[in-house]
Amino acid sequence: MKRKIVSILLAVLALTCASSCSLTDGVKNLLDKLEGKTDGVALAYHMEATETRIVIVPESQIGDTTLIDYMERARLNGGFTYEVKDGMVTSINGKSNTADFSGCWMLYTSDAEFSNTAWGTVEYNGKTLGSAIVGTEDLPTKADEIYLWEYCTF
Amino acid sequence: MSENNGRKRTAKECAYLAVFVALTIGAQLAFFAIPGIEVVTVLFVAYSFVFGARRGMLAATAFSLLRQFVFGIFVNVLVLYLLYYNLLAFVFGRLGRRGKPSVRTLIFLTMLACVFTVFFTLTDNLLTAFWYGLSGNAARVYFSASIPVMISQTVCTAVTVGVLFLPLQRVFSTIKKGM
Repeated sequence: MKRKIVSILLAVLALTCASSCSLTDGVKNLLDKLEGKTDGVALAYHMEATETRIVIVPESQIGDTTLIDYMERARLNGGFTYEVKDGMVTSINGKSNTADFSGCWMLYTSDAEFSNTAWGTVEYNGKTLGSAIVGTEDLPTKADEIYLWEYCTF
Repeated sequence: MSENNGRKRTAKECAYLAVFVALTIGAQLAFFAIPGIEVVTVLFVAYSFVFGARRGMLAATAFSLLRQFVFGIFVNVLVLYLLYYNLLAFVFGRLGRRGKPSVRTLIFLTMLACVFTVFFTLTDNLLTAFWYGLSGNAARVYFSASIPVMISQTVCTAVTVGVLFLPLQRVFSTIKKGM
């Protein structure tokens, strides 16, 4: 009987330790996210912005970052705002998609692995960027690849 | 006399088919901007259930071809729609019966429609990855990104089929009697 109780207590203790570790990691990741960091490192990038075009070029590769991480970093740095609804960017720097999508923000990238030129292209600095195959929250970023938001009208 | 009646019936069938296809394209256009929300599935489920597999598959083929003029011509999308909606129409057409389905049957039809909705997303993921030659990593990311939409689409199917199937079935049955 005593042995059973000790075994149960040890199992509960082990479970608590494991949960605490993952909880600590979770809290750490959350704090990083709030500060626009990944793995404790602030994301470095180059950004150009006009009323209808936003260009983001990551300067280094840190962990498994997606484009939203850089947009959030830019928002925390100030001078850049965006809104996301149901996984879709609905507004950048105060310019919003129209209700009928006759005007909306479209995402392009120079990363050939995650773009599709058949879905649309845009020219930037002599390069042809293809339409991103996934949204900003899922698009993996790579150092020196170009990520371009263009406000398109149809 | 019977030949004239046969011609009239064929003309009526064509007219009803055309109106139904226009309705489905209009319905898809109405909701295309809202991810995961659609009523085309319940329309095809009810239509095929009442009118049978043959008429359902005719409507599915016409819908798949004609919607390309509205939403743009993409071969992989055309293949997906032809495959998916014809299969949907065939299965629900074969399951069709006269009279009001029981609650148990309605639950079964709703669950089957949800399975089809999941199948649509999985087939789309496979076809897109294959057609555009996505890398394994890109295909995996594409699949992961589609999961939230797939879930909302499946919930939408469960709700729309659960709520709209019986009223639509009544309407289509009334139309079928007049044919």
